[in-house]
Amino acid sequence: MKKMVSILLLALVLGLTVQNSTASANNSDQMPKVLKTFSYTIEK
Amino acid sequence: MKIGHLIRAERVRQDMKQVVLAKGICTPSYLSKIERNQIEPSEDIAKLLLERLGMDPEKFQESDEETEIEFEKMLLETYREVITERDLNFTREKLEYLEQNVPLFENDSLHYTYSLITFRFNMIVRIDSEKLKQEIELLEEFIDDFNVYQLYLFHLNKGLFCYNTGNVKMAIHYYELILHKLESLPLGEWEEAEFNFIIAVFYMADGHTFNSIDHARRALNFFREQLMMSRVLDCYILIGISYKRSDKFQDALEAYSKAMQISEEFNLHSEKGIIYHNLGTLNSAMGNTHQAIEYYKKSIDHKIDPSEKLITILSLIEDYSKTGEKDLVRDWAEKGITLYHQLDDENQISYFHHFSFYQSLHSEHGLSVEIAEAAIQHFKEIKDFRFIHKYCIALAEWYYNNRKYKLASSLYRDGIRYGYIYSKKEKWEDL
Repeated sequence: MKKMVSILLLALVLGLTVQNSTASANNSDQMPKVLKTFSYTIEK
Repeated sequence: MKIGHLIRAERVRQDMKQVVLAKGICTPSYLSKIERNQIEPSEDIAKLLLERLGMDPEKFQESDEETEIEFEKMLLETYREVITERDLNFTREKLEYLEQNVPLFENDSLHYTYSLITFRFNMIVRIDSEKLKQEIELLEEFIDDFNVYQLYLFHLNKGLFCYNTGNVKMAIHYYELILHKLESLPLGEWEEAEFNFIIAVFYMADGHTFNSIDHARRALNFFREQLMMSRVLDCYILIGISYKRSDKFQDALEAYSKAMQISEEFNLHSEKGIIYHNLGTLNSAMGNTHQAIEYYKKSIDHKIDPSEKLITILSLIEDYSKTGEKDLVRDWAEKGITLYHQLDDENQISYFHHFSFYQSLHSEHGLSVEIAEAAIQHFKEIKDFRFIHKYCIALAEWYYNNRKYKLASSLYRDGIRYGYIYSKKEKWEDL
């Protein structure tokens, strides 16, 4: 149980760190189209 | 008559098998030789094959050198017009004209240029990526015979094709092949500007902010000199996104303001939807969630093409979810799913998974594990690490809050692993 709690804590800390490092890129900006008719599904 | 390549191109375009075309006229292996220009067919056979393809044999007169030179001149001029005009109907019109007036090429090289240019037009007017795939594969067979300009056109097309089928890294690979030789290529200024614009978009899609801004500025200088204002506007949007992603919010705001000013001054009102959307994501990144939501709503109101609304509905849902407005998340997710079904476009399926995930997460019964797993599986299939990471973490949080610690721990681990890949890190030591 103690081991499980420490894994979870580590996972939470790492998870938050990863999320923070990409925080400003986390919204989907809409890119101009390179062709008029269809575009890449999600343009990040 | 040397019509093999024409017959082949038209047969592939019509998705017709060699056996079907050859039936009652010649053997399939004979047709195969004709298509490779290894055999010159008799006039009778050529006439029958062309007729079966719905082409008028009378039109295929032997063309002399002069006709071909004239055609080449017209072809290259049409290419410039279509690419700089960026108008769907104009492209359709020109493509039709070229297909109807294509001469019988004695010159293989001119046929390659024709095929490469019409392929580009087809990418603009057609959505059927399977057919485009077949055509690009067909063109690839002749790659050793291409001259420098044709090779440039081929890489340009291949890169665009990769980008539009979601393979951004491969798209960059093809464009960098061009980039390394750009100075020695016989390109017009407009072509170079167009190339710089597209590679700027590709770089941005793959997170290479500095490269993107550099190429966007080069394209911008040319477009501004030529007063091609809708292209200038596109460049400002790209520059705005670059600044936003480098956390230079004020500079991003200025770039978007310039884009908005251009849309007002030059009556480019249809572009306001994309500007408002990006003002929304900028405000969201700055922590101004309420302002962001206002911009998203304006964006949805201004967008004419319904498929463009999907990305904004998703952003709206994300911000409502952040502020905990469950009802509004559900309402917009419902609208998004309805729109997805109306559009009936498989290319947009990622949005279906996004909307379903949020709808389920904020529903009365809470997140459905099935829906969450389907979303994660989908993003694994298309190798979109950002969203695998996102939804693994979200599902893990769900398990954790419901005291399912074992499942939560395994998903946190998965989430973190994909987060590493997304942020280009190998191990925790790299953090």
